[in-house]
Amino acid sequence: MRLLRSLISSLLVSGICIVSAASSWSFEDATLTVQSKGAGVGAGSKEKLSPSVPLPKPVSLGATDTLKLLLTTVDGKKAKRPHQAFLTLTDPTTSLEESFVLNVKESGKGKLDLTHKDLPIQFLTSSKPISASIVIGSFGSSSPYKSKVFDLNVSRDPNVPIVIPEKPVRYAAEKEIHHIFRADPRSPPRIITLVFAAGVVAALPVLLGVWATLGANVNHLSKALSSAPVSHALFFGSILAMEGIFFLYYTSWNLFQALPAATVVGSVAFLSGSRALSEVQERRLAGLR
Amino acid sequence: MPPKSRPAAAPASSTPSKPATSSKTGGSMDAQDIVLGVWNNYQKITPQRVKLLDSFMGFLVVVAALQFFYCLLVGNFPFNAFLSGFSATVGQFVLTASLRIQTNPDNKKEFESTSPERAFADYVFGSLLLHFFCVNFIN
Repeated sequence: MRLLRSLISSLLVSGICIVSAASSWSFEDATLTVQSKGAGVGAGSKEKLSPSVPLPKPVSLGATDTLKLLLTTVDGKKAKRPHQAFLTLTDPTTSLEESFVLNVKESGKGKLDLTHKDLPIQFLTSSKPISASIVIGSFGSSSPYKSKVFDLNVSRDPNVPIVIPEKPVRYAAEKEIHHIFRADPRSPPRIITLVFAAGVVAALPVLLGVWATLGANVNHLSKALSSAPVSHALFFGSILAMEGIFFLYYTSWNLFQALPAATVVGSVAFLSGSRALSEVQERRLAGLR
Repeated sequence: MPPKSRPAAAPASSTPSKPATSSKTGGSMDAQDIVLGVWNNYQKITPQRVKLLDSFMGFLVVVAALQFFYCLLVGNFPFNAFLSGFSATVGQFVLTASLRIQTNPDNKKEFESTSPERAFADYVFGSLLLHFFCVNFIN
């Protein structure tokens, strides 16, 4: 018995809750007027909007017209200000939507003014009428309202050109670049190189000839060798060996093979050279040079 | 570059770049006569060893000119090779010029402390260094 009573009371409470939660947002006293610029307040078409039934005929909005929407938002039976109230325009072909916020006061009275300037370019160039719906939503348990109320026909003077802005830059891969790289530098024709190399090589006998003409002190050679043969031979030999080391360094050796050899040959050259050159100095001081 | 090595024959000239004036031909101001006079003076006065060095410097100038015209003609594709060869001749020319200055008997007063043999030893050392760096630079 007690269980049955508690069950009935809980059922009653839930019933009351369900009844009280059944309120939903809606609007009333809604009027839609389209006014041309310069015309009086009373002129222009005026329609009454119903929350449940959309208008049968589309509303036309010209280039200089202003669409005025006046309504009162109600939560159940009470006029209240919702958290959000929009007029949403939807393009039927592309499903592109744009929402315009209704300016709603605390009393629930809301209004909206719409001109061509507010509409996005895609609506201005749309061929079919755009469906307009009112969306009302808020906190709390009242169910929101979203329903189509009328069709908007954006009429444009076809002679007036419309400025369509450029497509914005979207981040995506650019077209592939086919760069033609500069060709590698090539060696010149071999014949020219050979000619010039022959020229350089031919200059050498000319030099030797000029030296011979001047009497290249070859007659000093016998005297020098007789007085200090070892040092002269070592000095000359070490200079030749040094040039040989450079040649080997150019062709096959690396630096760390060449440097120790160069050090050894260099020290030989230094020691023998000092001896040889002091011998030359003796001969010079003796007037033989 | 060529005029530098020739007319250094006047006495007490310490650099090889001052042209010598010749009084041999009297009043004749013909350009050809002047050149000929300079050349004859040079031949007479320059010591033999200095002439050896001069001929070597002339050889170096010829080789450098050959390399330069080759580079102008066909471009400088292995640029480091051109630089190495050209700087070898130019560097050797500079070293030989300094050896010539130091060993010229006419300059003896200015170079009391360095004997010609010491100058020659420095010349050999500098030349070997130059050759090493040029070989290194060719690759």
